[in-house]
Amino acid sequence: MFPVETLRSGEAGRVVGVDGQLDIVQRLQDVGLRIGATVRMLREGTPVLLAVDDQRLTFRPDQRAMVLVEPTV
Amino acid sequence: MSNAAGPLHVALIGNPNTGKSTLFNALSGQNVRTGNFPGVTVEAKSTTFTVDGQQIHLTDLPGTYSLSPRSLDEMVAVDVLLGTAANMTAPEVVVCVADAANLERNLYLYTQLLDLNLPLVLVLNMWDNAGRKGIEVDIEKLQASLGVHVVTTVADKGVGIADVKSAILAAKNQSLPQRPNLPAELAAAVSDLRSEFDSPPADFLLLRGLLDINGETEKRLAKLTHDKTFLDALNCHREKLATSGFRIPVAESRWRYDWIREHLKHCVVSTQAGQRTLSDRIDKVLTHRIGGVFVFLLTMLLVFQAIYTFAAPFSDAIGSVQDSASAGVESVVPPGILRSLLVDGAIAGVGGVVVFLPQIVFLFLCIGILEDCGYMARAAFLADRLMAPLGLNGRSFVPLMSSFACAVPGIMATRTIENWRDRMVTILIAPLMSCSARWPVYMLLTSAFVPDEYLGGWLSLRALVLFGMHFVGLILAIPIAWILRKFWFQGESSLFVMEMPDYKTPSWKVVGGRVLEQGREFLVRAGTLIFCTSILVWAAAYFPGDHTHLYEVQTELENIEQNETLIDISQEKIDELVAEHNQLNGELIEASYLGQAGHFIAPAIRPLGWDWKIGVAVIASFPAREVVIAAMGTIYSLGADVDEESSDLKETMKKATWSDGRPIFTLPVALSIMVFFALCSQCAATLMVIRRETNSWRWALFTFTYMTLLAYAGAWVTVQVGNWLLV
Repeated sequence: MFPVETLRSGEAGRVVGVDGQLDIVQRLQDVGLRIGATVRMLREGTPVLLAVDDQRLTFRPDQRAMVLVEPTV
Repeated sequence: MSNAAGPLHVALIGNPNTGKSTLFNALSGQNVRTGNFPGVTVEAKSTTFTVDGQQIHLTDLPGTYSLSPRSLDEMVAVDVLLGTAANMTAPEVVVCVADAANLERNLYLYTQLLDLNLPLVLVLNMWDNAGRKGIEVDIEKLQASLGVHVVTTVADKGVGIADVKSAILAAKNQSLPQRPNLPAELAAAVSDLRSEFDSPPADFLLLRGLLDINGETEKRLAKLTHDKTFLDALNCHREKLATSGFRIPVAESRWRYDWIREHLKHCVVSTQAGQRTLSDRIDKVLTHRIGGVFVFLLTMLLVFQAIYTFAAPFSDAIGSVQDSASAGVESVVPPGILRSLLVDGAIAGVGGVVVFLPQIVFLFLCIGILEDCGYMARAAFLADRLMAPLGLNGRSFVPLMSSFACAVPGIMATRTIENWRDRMVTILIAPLMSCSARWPVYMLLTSAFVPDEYLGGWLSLRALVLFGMHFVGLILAIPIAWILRKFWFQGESSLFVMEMPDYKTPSWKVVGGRVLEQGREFLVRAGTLIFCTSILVWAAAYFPGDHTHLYEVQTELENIEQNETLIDISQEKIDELVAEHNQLNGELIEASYLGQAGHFIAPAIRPLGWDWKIGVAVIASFPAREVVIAAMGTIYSLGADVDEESSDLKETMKKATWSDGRPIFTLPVALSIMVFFALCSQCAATLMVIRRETNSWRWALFTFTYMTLLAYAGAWVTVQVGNWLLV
């Protein structure tokens, strides 16, 4: 289990937890970074570019909330 | 609720990037601005149409991912849905638009809507795109599973629109769709909370109040109870929920997504999941940290060059219409106050501004295309990194980008920035972005005073100056934002997370509609505000002098001109008359009210190298910056020499001299005027919208003051550096 922003380009994972400041957690879930979603790193760095299921999101890693993923094959 | 004769009230809601506004346009047949960026559908728009004899009143709500209002924008949607919005009837049917290719996430909002207990219609839009992405949705099964009428559409091609209309009619009398049951502990908390009110609000508000920590709903509820301890009580309920296993906010999304996945299980098949799409391949280049920035800058430069090149013939055409209008009036009306009012006031003033209509139209066309094809979100992605050190994020970049067209919609687009500090800083720097009203000033001065040369044979020096002028405000916005953050708006910034819509071919209907709307607005301004200011400026420059002698000379000259062959008159005599005319003209305008005012302010603008005519024109343009063209047109037209063949302002300005014969408009002076206009707050509409959005005159006044000081300093530095370099 590790933060989503540590995925390398092309790597994929499944969201297993979103933790931190509650309003930020809710906001992340609303746009689609929710438990069970599949994420794939499209562009590393700050901000990251992610494929979340069938949508594309940009997200700047934020110390107030962490999106935890576990790797998938 | 409606009776048989009244209209059926319907609300349209959906996630951003689902083509909701396009669907709204298709349903109403009337064009509305569309897009996916914060604030594009800020206000709830509505329309009325008739299906099978039943009138339907449709309200378009701002795009939102959830009904957890955390900003003004999102609260509008909740208020409309509950019927608590001012002057609006509660909807009887709700149409939820979802992206067919991204159903699971889109149904999150749908399940929140179910809590309203209203009849629903579920529209799966962009159905063709889902097919292309290999996503198959079994509509029959989905309808059975959700217990709701599902309609598929391709709104931008007009496919399925009639089905939506008939589904709305049918939904009114159908049973309510399936909804996820509230977990027992949550239901208990809602009913406990209800008992704390004398007249309890809708259960929906209570539920949202519990689930949305630090949201707008809890503020609203606290206001309703008039009880200062309400928030503590609310937190107490939340803690109780947490101990019983329902941890807000994660529990809500888990509960809803469990339900959604259960109900979608046998309905959706994705054959190409996880594959690279065309959009991904384009993004390989366009979101590249270096390549992407390069493409962005190159795109902008090409836009400017294109505007400069393509709009020129249209401007020339309008200019020649203006010339023949002046000539027409002159041939009919004898020299006198009426002719002066028409030619020097109305035609020179308004015409000078209207000449720039083609440029404005091209600019809005380019920005509209970039926005509608999905590129703006990529620009925001690239900009985020640059905005971060300023304590802002990429989300602020979009309102700033649209401020390059006009600061008014730009400032309104900041509404969806939830963090008020970010929002305030964005509002206060937005007017520094070089809006379309600055174009006329830049165009006039560059084409008159910047040499028509090409660097390296292809890059127009004039286009480069234009391009540079757009960066002056942008670059100065950086320290200003930093200072604002440091001294007025300290504190943490907001989260940056943003959806990147798939690239798509821009819809000509959407872009064209917007260009038309903006073009019309520009002409209306020219016809009203600018027309009135022109007349005022003309009157101030005309009175109180006695023009009788001037007109005698002018009539004599025109007689000679018309009957040149008949009258035997020496060239010397003509020259004498011309000189007398020009001298009278100059004396009259200097003695006018405007001239007096100009001499009064002359000491203040002397360090800038400006003469009193420029000073007066600049002051006249504080209500709206494009007035400066009209004001200069009028001032220079009244004071113009009679041997002037063209009414072209450029030529007149080139010939303007100080009393010792030096030209007034040197390149540094022209550049300093441009820099002044790039930085100055000369737009009453912007100040009004700042007042409205910040709810105080203080920030409007603040903006006005800092921008005006900045403009003066910028112009001074430009003229000093320019003189030092060029002399």
